[in-house]
Amino acid sequence: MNRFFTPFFKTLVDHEVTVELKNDISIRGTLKSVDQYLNIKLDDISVVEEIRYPHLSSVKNVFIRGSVVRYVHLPGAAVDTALLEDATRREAAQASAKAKQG
Amino acid sequence: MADPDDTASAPVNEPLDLAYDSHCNLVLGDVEETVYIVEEDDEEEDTVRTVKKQSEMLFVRGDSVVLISPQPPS
Repeated sequence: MNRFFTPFFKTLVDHEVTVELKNDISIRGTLKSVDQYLNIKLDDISVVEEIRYPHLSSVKNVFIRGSVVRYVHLPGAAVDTALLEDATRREAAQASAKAKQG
Repeated sequence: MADPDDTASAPVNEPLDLAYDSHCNLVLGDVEETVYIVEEDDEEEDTVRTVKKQSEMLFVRGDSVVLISPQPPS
């Protein structure tokens, strides 16, 4: 289903990421797994504004439903930008080829 | 960035910053987010406060994307 971003996130497993949810809560933790819906598992989590959002202060690891994610802040050094751009060109070329067929 | 003359192998307009798919999921580099916060003061007048946030690399989930407006080349 998500051929493009799922493999990309898999290359970032074991890196620290910050996931900002659509309810404004930001959760920082170690990325443990990602699936086809971009559901995310995080370990050793901390909530960025803990005073405002104390609900998760005793929680160690979470499974986040992909649909509630707004942003994922990524470590810039861990992202292979050339690879991503190449993959985007391929994906866009395939999409336009499909559009012409249909 | 790729050679702009190399259009045969790169049908996408360059520069590409950075990645997207058909759901409008995006990965952006060198990001500045501007949040507009509207507050009502004592005289019930709206004041707009902006908060800017920087991020070196950001994934944006496509279902929150409303529009994409490419900047003209500078």
